[in-house]
Amino acid sequence: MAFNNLSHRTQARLFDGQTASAHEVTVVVSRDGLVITHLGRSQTWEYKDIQPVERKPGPDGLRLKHRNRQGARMIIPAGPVLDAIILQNPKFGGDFNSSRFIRITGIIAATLILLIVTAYGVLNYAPGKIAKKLPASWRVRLAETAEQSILGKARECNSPAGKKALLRLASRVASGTDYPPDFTIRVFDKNMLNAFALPDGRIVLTSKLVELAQSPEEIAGVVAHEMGHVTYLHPEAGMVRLAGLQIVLSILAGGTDTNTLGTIAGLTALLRYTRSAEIQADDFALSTLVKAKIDPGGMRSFFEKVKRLQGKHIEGTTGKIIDFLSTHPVTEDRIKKFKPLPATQTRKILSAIEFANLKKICSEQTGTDS
Amino acid sequence: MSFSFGQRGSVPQMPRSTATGGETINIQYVERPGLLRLSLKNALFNILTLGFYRFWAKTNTRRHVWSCISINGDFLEYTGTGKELFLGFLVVFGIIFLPFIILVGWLQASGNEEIAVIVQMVFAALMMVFYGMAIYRARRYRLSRTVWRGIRGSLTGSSWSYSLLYLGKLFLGAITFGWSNPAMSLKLQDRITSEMKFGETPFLFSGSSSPLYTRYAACWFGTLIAIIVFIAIFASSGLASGEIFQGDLKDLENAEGSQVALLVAIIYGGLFLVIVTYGVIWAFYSAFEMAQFASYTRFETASFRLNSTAPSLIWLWLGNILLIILTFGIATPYTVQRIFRYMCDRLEVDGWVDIAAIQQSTAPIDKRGEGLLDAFDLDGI
Repeated sequence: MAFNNLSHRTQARLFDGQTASAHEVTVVVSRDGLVITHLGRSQTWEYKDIQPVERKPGPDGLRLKHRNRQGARMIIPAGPVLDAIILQNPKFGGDFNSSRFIRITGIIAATLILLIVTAYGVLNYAPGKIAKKLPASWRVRLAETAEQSILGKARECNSPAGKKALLRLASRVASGTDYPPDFTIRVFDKNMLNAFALPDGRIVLTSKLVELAQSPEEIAGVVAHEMGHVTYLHPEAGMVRLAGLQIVLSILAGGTDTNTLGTIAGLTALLRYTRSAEIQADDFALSTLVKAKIDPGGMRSFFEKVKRLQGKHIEGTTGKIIDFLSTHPVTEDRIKKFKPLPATQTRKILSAIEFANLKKICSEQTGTDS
Repeated sequence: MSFSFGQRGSVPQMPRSTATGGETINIQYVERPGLLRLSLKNALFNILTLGFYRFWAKTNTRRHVWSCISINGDFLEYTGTGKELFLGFLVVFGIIFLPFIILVGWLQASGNEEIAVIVQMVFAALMMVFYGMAIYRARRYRLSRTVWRGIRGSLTGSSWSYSLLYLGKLFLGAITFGWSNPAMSLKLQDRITSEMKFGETPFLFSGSSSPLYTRYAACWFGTLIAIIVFIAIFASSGLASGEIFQGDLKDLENAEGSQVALLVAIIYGGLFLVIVTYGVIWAFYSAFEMAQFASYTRFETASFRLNSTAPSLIWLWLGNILLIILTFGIATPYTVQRIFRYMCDRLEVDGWVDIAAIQQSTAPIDKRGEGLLDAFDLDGI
């Protein structure tokens, strides 16, 4: 490109970065840079040292800064000189800058991948590992916190005959496990249909669930499933995941808000296990039931019953915040897994009287009755 | 005095005062195109990065708004970067918030709940100390990144002593039911203004808080009346006794969806009403205080007049809240522009400044951005 010095000459304003005074200078476009003349003295700003302050020329012209002169600014008014400078350095004109675009896209993609990997690690992989390392006292503590938030002031159903039948049923289920887990099992008077496994091996059934069951095998299926969660420490992992989730959320929220999110999101996050955890618990339940000679068909009929109730729930708009379906989604796959066993391979769990006692576990109550 | 900025190659010249060698100062907000594009870009990247873009978004907005502010025909320049803000956030989060979250989590999980509560209380108290510090450091960062005619600003005092003064304001305000606030606000403003420099030329501040008290008293009693009215409405509406709901609200998980929605609507609607009422009442004081503080400020021989009025301030504030709510935050850059345009439009400068004699700042430059302020989310600017 040939430069015609005479036509590429303009008046410009220069700030030297030392004082706020404006110097009126003459700028000439040369091959290597801008030759600036002020009061008879000249200096050259080489193109490699010049950067535009803004992406596009502003109303007063293009503002340039010099890499080695802090605070120095030169404003080139619009005109042939500015056009020539932009022609020489297309980036200065505010045109689409592809390298910048690629860089920004790359940074965003890398950030996202890092975020997703971290979140995956925090939420899926780490909790299970950490759960195994938790000391017993922590597990008790976690169990009490979880129990408080889920059960609140609900009373435990404790009719002696009912408890006896429940324990009998649970130990029958446990007899089918290779390594019987440490667990306790209780029924709480709660107006929702659910069963939970809490940390510290605490299995909880709600009175609604016991009422709905038509055979000991149905309850045994649910207990075996929850026993699976207990064995694999899913509740502990859930609590650890919740803590991790809180940290992730607080990073996103910018540092404040460390506790409020946990209380709202906590309950559901705590009760809803990952899909793989549910499958694990189901598989555990199935093999345990078979080994304990309990008919898995009970679990199947229980699932089917819950599924039928699902439709009614939606029609009736009784939007219960927590119910069995929200924490244990029932799918066809899950139902199919629990195939009934022939009668020759099963044994009764409870006598008719014992089962009747279990069904009445909440009604024979010392104290107030509802 | 007005310039036509759109004209090619126009170089505005201010009249020189032959008597003092200084120039008069004219501040204007000159809108530039591109704010809509910037807003959409910020929103899009914020979504894509789950909010991590916010540091760069803030920087984009500031760059644009700063470049619209003309002082005697030369535009301001914001030289901060998103990276600086991000690093500032990382440092603050890493050394303050993360250890706290882990410590409290560990204490809760290991059964030391009482100690966890104490730690949380100590942390809350510490946050009150950091609050003033956050304000000061953010101002320092922004001033050091604000350049006009190649000269940058600075804040040369100690953020610790400012934060203690701020803590003093909170403490005295609590025990005097707010009656110490005008005096303490003046002290804080005095401190931060007197420590502010453009280049090596300091801003000066002098004035008394007594003119503020008439307005303050009016707003204080206005608030008292509003509180009484709100309590009366609350008590007579049946909300307090829970009659409005058929069910037992304590058992929330058994509540009907519609009841929960009604409760949420009442809580948020009521909260919005209280905030708006409070904001409207105190706008009358804020407008007066802002004008008063401006008139107490000097730069060389120049003095400032801010024509801030309560209705205009309410419109600015409510408009910004509505803009953010109605656009789900996309219009945030417009709210920043509105704030700065408000100040530029209403600020008059009397007297002269010898601009050419202003020396470059020698104050050190912070390497990182306003991490603490971001954590507190003090403002949208």
